[in-house]
Amino acid sequence: MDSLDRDAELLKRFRAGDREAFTTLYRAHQASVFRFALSMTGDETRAAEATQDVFIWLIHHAGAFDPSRGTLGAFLSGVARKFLRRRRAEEMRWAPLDEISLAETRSPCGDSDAETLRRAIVALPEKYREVVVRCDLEEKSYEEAASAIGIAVGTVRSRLHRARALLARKLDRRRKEEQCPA
Amino acid sequence: MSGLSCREFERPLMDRARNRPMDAAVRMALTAHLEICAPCSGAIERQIRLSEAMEALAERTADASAPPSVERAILLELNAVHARARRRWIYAGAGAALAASVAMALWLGSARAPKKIEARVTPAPAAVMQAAVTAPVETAPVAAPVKRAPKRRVKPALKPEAPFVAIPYTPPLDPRERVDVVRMDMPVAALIAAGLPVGAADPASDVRTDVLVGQDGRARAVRLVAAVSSN
Repeated sequence: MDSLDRDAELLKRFRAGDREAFTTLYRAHQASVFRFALSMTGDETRAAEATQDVFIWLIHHAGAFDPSRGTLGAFLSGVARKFLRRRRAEEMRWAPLDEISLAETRSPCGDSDAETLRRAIVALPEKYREVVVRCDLEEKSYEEAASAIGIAVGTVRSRLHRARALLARKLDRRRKEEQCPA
Repeated sequence: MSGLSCREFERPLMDRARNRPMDAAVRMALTAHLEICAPCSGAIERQIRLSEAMEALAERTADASAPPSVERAILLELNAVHARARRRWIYAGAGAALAASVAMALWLGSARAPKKIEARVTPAPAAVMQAAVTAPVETAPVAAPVKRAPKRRVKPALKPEAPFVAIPYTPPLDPRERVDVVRMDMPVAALIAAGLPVGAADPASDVRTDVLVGQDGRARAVRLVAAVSSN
């Protein structure tokens, strides 16, 4: 039984009242949902909240998953994406302007490339951030990323190109700053 | 090499830096271009460094998973959903039992013909309560031959002391549905089970009630009229 069939079967059992089936599903998929949320937010607390939102939503909408349209993992990451976007919109509504501009802070000295990169990814505009997370961190193909985000493959490629150019510039700038500190 | 050529190599350059499969001819052309184009060879170095940093970042988060508190919260929600579903079944069962007991009471009431006083009411349910109060009520023939002056005798008993109380878990009445109001004596215990605030001290006693019966013959609401007897 492949993962798609197994997930569909577990969801079916859950809908019939088997709580253990849902726990099994949660344990199988929570890490990927959490990692996606963590990559998108750069914040473990927010990622945990988003993961919780996703699975509680699934408890109440178990019938919304259609195995013929893709895997449960992809479905849950789409749900996570919507929750993150909604949360972000709510946060931006209440955040003072100063705080929004501070979101793109410079990396402190001594950060590794990975840490600088993590900060730089979080500071990217969402449409660029998402393709970087899907294609580079989750190592999805262009087609998979396009399907998950709901855009054309060509758009994924062009956004990824633009995002990587921005990130490479940031990393490069940081290296130069470290070489000749002001 | 012209800027246009560099632009043509933008995507292959990114694919190469990301270690993605690439057409052999494109790979050769890109290699040739990188040998003669300093900006593009600089760009690919930056992109390769970026890919390395990406790999490092992906490795750092590879083992990340949601904290145990998330699983606890989800299990709590699962339990709550399960409990709600169980309560729904219990309420549905209780509603069915109550409906059955009311139906039984109706049947028993009809068997005890001398006690039953029936008033057929035709207007919509919204007007039923008022109508039940003011409508002329006819008594069924009484077993013992009595002088026929029933209207005068039952009128005081029809004073609406209490409103109709809906019987839980019965389908709502349609506004245009015809209803019957059946007057009968019901055991206090059955009324308490239906959630009616009955003040009678003895649960074994009977009270006089008006029962609102829908077109389908099912009882929908009950109203207290007066206490009748104690056993």
